Amino acid sequence: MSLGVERQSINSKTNNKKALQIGKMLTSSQAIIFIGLIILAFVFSYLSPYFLTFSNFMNIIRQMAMIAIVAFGMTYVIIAGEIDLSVGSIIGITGMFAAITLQKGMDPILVISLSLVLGALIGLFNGMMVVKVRVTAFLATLVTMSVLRGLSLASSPGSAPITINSSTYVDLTTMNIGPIPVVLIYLAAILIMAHFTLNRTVFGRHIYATGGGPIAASLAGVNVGRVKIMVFVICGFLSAFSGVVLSGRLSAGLPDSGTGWELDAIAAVVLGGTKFSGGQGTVLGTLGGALIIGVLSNGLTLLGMTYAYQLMIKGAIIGLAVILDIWVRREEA
Amino acid sequence: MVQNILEMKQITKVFSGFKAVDNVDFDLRKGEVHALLGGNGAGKTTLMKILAGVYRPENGSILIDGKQVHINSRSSSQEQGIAMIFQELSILPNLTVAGNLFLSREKKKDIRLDDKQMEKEAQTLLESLGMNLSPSQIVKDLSMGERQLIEIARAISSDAKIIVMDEPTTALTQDEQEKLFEIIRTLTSRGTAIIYVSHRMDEIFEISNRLTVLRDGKKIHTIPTKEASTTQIINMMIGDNELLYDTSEKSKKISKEAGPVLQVNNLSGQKFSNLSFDLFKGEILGIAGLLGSGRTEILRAISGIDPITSGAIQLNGEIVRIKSIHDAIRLGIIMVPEDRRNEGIIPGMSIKENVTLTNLPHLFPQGVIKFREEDRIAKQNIDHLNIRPGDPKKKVGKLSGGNAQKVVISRCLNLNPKILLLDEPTQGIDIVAKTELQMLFRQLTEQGMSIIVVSSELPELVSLADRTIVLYDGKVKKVLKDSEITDKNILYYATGGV
Repeated sequence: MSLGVERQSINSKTNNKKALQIGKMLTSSQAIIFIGLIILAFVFSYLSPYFLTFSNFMNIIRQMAMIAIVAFGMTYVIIAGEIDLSVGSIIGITGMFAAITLQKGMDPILVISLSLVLGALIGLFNGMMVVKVRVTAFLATLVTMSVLRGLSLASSPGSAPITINSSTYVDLTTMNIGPIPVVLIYLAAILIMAHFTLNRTVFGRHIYATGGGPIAASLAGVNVGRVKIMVFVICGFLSAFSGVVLSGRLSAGLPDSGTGWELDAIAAVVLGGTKFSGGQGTVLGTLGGALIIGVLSNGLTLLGMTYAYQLMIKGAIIGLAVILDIWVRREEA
Repeated sequence: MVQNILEMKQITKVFSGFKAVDNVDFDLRKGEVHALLGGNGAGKTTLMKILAGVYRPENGSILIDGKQVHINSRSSSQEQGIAMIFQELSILPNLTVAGNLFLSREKKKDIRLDDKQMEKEAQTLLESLGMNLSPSQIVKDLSMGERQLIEIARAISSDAKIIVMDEPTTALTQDEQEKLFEIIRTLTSRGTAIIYVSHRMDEIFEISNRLTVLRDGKKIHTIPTKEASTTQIINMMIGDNELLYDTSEKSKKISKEAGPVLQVNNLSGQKFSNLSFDLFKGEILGIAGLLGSGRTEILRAISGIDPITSGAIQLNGEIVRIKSIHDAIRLGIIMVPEDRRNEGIIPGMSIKENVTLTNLPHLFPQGVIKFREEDRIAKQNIDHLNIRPGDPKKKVGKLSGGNAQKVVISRCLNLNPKILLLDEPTQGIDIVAKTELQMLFRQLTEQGMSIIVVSSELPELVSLADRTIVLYDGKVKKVLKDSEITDKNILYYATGGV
């Protein structure tokens, strides 16, 4: 009898603990992002009856998933105190690489694997430039960004799109499992892995330490150089993943695809409460940031807003969120 | 009637429900040096940051020359003639000495900077203060002590009426300290008032006219320095409940039979050459020397941070190669660096994440952190070293200097090192935490650990070290033992005496 009571109280205690942990996972700046997301959703559903339908929701997911996956990689890089401007160009070059090799009749699974390896290798190059050659990340990745974009434009005569006919390749990126698009499953899997790695592994802790205080971290025995190279590799890999998914959705390799995505990815990271100076941030926050960008683009398109106005509104909202975040941090300090 | 140049009345500052400064009255007379004392979190720095316009108090008023003033920003504080020299230096390393001296009040010719004029005026200022520095030198290449002097020169050159010095001598050599005191005496004779925040009793007795003790955000007492004694001040600082540890008793448990734990033979590296010495099990070996004598560099070389150019290191009689920090950690050698803020702690990380950082790969070889185990270790560390506040999730950047240092030391101790290297381990730390740490170092050697401590605080070496090596110009000048370790002896050899 008494045992039962005890167990119950233990159960309720662990439940409380869980609730507390979830509460703690979302710092106040992240809470703002998710509150902002809800407000946005309310506004759009009021203005457009189509917004709150299931099919539109899946649409948003399909659109934002690729940005989110790139932004997860970007989150790693920014937490480690660096920046990667080459992600959009990696999307472009991997899409072109996949389209060209598929056209030559290569096996789709092999094409996907090689594309991902290509992304990781570009990330490795970025990382080596930053760590070994000691070029500032901004400049090093600006170089890869420019060269790779040129390469994708040159890889097709007249910079024309190259069609992808492999149904396996297209299916792998566009099919639905029941009502759920497979992209959502990829997104969820990557999110869980990225979150787990960052929060529960020694490597994740080393990423935070590297960005939070590189000298102190290296004196404490963290191999800061290796950590930095690794985050660039991860970012390159995830960008390539996005590039594969995007080319599958378009059934083509477009030389200019992914242009400007580095900005959306950085915006998602910053909206998600990750500190631009490094050392702090979460992938969950980045997911929220990517969702905001996705919901905004989707909602504004539904309202018939042109791309020009969308850009302005998007910029204004990002600015607002960042200012709000600064205020919140000041209060906390 | 003595003239009060500054009066702070009933100042209260609350940080998230916690009263950092609680209804404090403080006054400052023209031409006096007023020492401000207190332990960790006593509220000294907060009170001074209110005066500097960094924080705004919830309650209270500030009067300057009897008139109420509103200080709500750094610049409004400067306009009132208040200059601050904080512990964390605000010197910009990439500018020249002159550039730093005239920062934010640069001399201009039309719209261009008048570098020549600034360098000329800087030269006069530096000379009048007896500082042997070139105005066109880039600050990056200067020592911490020299930077501190530039900071002081900057405050003086802005014609401040009130100068606040927060632990100004921590990075200074004995010589530089003497120079600073001369400067202070000149200033006070001209009517400038100085608030002097320090933990060093000898300095306070030498330089101050009155002293105020704060504890837990409250003012305990203000008395003329002449009427105070060290014991009385320490009792005011720590209250009645806490014990002051006695560090005068040195350990007698050095085991020399087994031979030295560490032998350094003809070691050369950055700023030192052909250095040889031994370290025994359970011994505390002091290293003394002026700034630039190679005292920090030798620790950095042994702990794998800087490269060794020639010579050999032997551990328990066997030659070992230390080419990286990892090599040193593997061999059980780890260093607590001098520059705590940049090289010691990771400010944005919690106490827990800081203390386990070095040991993490050994604790969790699979790479996955078990939070419960990590929490347990952090709590153990917090209890063992009495880290306050004792919340493992607290960001280390928000801790006081003493507690931050305890975090760095905990991180090193979690490795169970055989040899602990300490570079200025109690610099800028209040007297309570300092005694706690010195007590801890003793305990560690009694458990068989060997310690090398570099310190510019002579009393620390005198009370702590079993032997002391005095370095001069990158070479061993003298090895002092037991009763030979005195302030006088160390100074004599450190300044090059034969």
